[in-house]
Amino acid sequence: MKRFVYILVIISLLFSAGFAEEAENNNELDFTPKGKLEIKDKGNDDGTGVNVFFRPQNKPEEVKYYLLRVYYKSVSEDNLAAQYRIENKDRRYKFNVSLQKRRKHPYPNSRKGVARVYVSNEKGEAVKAFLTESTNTSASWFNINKLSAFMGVLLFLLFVYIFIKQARRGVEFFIRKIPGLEELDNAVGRATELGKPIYYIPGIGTTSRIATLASLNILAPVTRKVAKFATPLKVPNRDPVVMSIAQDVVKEGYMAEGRPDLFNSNDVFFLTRQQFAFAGAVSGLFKREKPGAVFLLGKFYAESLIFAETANDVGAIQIAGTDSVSQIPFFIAACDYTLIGEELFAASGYLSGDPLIVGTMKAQDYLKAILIVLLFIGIILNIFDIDIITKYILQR
Amino acid sequence: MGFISTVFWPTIAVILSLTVYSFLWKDNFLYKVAEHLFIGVTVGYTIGSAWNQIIIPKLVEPVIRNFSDGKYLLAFWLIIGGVLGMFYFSRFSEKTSWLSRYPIAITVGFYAGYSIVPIWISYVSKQFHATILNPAGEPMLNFKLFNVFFSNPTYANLLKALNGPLIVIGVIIVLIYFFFSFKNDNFIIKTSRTPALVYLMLGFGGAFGYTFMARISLFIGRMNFIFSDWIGLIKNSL
Repeated sequence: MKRFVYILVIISLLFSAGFAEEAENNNELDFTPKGKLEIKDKGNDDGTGVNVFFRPQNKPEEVKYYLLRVYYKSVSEDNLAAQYRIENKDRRYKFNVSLQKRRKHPYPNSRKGVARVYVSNEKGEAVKAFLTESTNTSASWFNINKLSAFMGVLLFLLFVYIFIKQARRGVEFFIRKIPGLEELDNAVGRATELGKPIYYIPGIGTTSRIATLASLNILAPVTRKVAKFATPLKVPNRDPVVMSIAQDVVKEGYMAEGRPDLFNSNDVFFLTRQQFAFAGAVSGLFKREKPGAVFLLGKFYAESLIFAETANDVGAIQIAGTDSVSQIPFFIAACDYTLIGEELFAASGYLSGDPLIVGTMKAQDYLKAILIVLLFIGIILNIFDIDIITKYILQR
Repeated sequence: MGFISTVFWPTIAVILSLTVYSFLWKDNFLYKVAEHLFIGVTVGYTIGSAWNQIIIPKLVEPVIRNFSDGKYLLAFWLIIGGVLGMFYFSRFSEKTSWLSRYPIAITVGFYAGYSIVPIWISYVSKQFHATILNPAGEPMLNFKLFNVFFSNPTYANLLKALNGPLIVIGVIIVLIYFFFSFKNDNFIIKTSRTPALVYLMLGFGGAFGYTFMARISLFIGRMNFIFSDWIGLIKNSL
């Protein structure tokens, strides 16, 4: 009998505890949390993006904070992709969420995103979940948002094709004089007269940088000029791939001038991949070998002034050029001649006269002309609140 | 251990910093030591990191894993990449050096093609869009701002009114400056040349000052390390 009483007491205690907890919860939420939650596939991507929209329908006095959690696949702490604390300001909230963040396996073709909204307390903790929505996402073959870029590139390629074809047929295109390049012969001649080597630094960029490729294009005609005078040409490199290309370019330059005997593969050498170790090494070489001319053409970063100032210090004539806007001022300050931005790309065509490069330059000019016209039209239309150009052609 | 990390290595760092600064005086033996040490360490580090971060985890391990999982095609694909990479070694021989042109051609071709669309978007489309509309979505040539200035002629209103037109004019004349198909004595090229150069030099001057201040900040950081952190000569950092 006693045992029966004890069991009854324990059961009643458990029940009362359960009711007490429920009463406590009811005290916390003495209203029904409401809101409108939507989750949609972002589209035009690799299937990793979702847009989540949430509109609170409680007054800010009832619920001050919500917590939005977005999960990959299913609601689980391991699958949490993103969470946002939302202050209830009685408006619609939009979130772009990447489901890629916590995924180890990249780029699956299709995936599922789940969004869940919780009522949150002042500490930012989730108190009660009240809305859950999910959607399946899929990867797109084509990003419609980049259609204008695609059309622009196609137009440019068309121009390039037409002008290269014309240049190969023998049509001569005019390229205006670029002052820095006019001095190239003088620089090479001066180094020859002084009996000092010429240093050519193709920047510290890799082959992924267009400026590096432009620099390697310029290296060819420079080598040919150097070969005529048999002046030693040295090309220190930061990138092994660039070094390999530079070696071939220099070798071909010497061969084109009938002086393969002058080519020494050790003159086109690798130093190190570390930016400032490379800068220190090149500065040391400048100080010790005192070059007569230094060409700094390519992609440069913070080391630009170290090169330019040291070369200036040893009295070398310097021709520099880069498309790094933040480094051009240093070259202008410390070098004799500077190719600004696009002049670097034009230089290779100007020097070599190669129909491929000259045709490309002509195509660039035509594209620039079209863009200036579009810019004018866009500016005028936008004054009258017509945004065709900015919405469909020159997108942000 | 505490001595090594708190006294020995910081002292080495200070000595190396001073030896590098000694280059400002002249090229000397100590600078050469620091220079060669720096190059040697970085080349060694590059080789180590290429082995541990690329060759082993991105080539050797996936090939072994794919073979053991029966995914032979994936393993074969990776092996092709590895073999192409090894073609660089062909440069050691005159006879086979032509093989190294294949990985170079693939690398250069890939990056040249890959960068076309991003460059179009970031350097062309976005920049032109920003020349037409400001970040708030209002036209850069907004004549209403001139009305605001004339009704309330303050310096701030003048700046607001002039900002957009100055940018638009600047973009157009600088673009014209970079046309290479016209002779330098062409009327448009000739008249836009000086203002374009003024715009360019103003921009470069701003960039120069900004970057110079960043360099000074780096120098102060090094001085703080020597005189405050290491020797404790200055109690409060600069």
